[in-house]
Amino acid sequence: MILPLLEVKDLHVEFKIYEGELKVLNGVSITVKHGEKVGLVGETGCGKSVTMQSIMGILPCPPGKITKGNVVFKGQTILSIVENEFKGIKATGISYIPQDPMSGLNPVFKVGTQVKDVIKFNRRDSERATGKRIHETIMDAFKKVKLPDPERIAQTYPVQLSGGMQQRVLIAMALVTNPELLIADEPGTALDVSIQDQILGLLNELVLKENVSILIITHNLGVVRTLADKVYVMYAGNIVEEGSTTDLFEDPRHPYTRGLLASVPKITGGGVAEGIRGRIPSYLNPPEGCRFHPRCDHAMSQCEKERPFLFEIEEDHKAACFLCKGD
Amino acid sequence: MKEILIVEQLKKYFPIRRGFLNRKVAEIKAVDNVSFGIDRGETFGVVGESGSGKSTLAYVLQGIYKPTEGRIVYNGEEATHAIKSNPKLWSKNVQIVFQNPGSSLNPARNVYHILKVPFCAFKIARSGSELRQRIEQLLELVKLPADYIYKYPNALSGGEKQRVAIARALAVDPALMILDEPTSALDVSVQAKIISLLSSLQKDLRITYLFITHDLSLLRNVANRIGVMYLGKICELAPTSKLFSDPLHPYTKMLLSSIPVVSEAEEKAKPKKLPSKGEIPSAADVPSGCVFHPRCTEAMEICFGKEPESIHITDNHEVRCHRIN
Repeated sequence: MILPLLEVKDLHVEFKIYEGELKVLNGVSITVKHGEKVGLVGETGCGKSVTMQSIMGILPCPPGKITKGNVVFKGQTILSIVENEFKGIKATGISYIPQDPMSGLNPVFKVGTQVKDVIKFNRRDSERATGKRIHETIMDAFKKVKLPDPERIAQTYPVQLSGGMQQRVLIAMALVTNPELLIADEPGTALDVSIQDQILGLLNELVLKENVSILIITHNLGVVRTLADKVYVMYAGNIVEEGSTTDLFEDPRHPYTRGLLASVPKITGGGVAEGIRGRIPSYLNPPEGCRFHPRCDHAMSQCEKERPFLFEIEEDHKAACFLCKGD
Repeated sequence: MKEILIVEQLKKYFPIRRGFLNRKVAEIKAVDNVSFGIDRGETFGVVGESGSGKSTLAYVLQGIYKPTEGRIVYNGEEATHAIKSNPKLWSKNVQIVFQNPGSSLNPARNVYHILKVPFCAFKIARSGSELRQRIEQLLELVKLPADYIYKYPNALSGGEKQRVAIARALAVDPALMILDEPTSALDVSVQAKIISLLSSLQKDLRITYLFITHDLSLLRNVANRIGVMYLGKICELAPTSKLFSDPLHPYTKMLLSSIPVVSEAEEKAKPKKLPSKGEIPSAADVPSGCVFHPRCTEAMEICFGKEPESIHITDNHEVRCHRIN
């Protein structure tokens, strides 16, 4: 059996604040295989970013604390590795593309310099990079992301570039270390649809050409459908549904996924649905049982007491809802 | 009078000044020759990418910016001068809801103080008790509980903040409301709730909306007519169903084909995939001829030199494109 590239196993994260403990992640499991495009979708405050930070090892601790669970990258547990090793394994294996292109780049340095810093910081000790080789790597990366006139771009400051170009620079920056996994946080959602379309096309191409896997974290269901092969839907620190993109979008099973899909305005018209009643619960005192039950139209007495785990509906399609049990 | 607002040849140029003498060296044509009319009670949508001038248009109609040129007719009466000379009085007719409720509400004032401002500015409420009653009515109107009156914006969620902003705009009982990306900072499930609130308000209070957004699929569901803006110009204007079933301008087609959708049925409704190329240029350095030609996949020779005129295809479908002749 081939090991999956990234495995997040039953991750629990808590945040200690003055009022008590925020139980943010409540058993999140995600698997990313080689060459796969995986989407993690959910609304604001559902724990997407905390999951990402835990994988990257940039979770602020304290106040954050991983109480249970594990993150395995290429068969190696990476939650516990110390700073020094971290540089070797994680920094070269996993790259991160931040959400907001403008705040992801330092405004006072030229973009070329910033990409160079990434290479210098991440180079393995065995390969001492010369100035010329670094320059070639940067030009290569810029060409890969289809930046016109890479020599000139490297000499510009971030403000001189448009949003789409900044996003491309950030993707180039993520690529220079030859990662095996790219984590893209809301790719292109800060940009206009036409530019977003270009960026999604570019990411898709890179996955094919560069043999990387990609984990897309977003709130935009359309983006996930366009790019991902497999989707995880997150709600209040739980994975509520997972499945292949076609299964999940054609036949959503969890009431939350259904509500979310119904809320998206359709270009075929038909008006906008009512949305999902209520709001995301406080993590200080999350509802017992299924965390979605106070907002769910199908809630049963069982949902208030017992936590539903992921039930298999068909192959590669699971939902954490008692309605799907025994299906 | 069918139209509540008619805009004719509206222009808003911003000068670029340089040098010791602060001479005007160039102009940014943020809104350039825009003409349209909004019918009473309808929702008129304006869509475009960032930098296309849609927010500037909103600010001009609200009276925040003074128009450089052009006419604005409100209720059959010339209003251009009124907007320029007394924007405060004008804002009794036209109110605006801004994009980000987090920054459009004063964080140091509670909901009561925020909603008090329009009543005091226009001296609508006579006594303190009347004021309080009116504010409670407003909160009821936007479906917020009455005890929210003493809450501060930081205690509200994004959707609730936007409801307060809508309540503030409703205070003066405006006939026209400009919604500048009212839901783009919100999640889809919250967006759905705000949209259904807005449409029920429109039914009950007979308000006309000018809905500005970059989200075409949202406009599909709320707008009666849509104007597509690119670099300060309206390049296509059509009734919503017409625009989606039969888009004519290449820019409209490009926008429609790049919307990420969530179902197979929608995928089929999209026009044939056009490679989206390039990015919107700076408004200070507008391309010659048709402003869209550097990004257009169907550009002809004439597009480089000559600016296309707005052509009426049918009564209510206008396009600015040389291809359509």
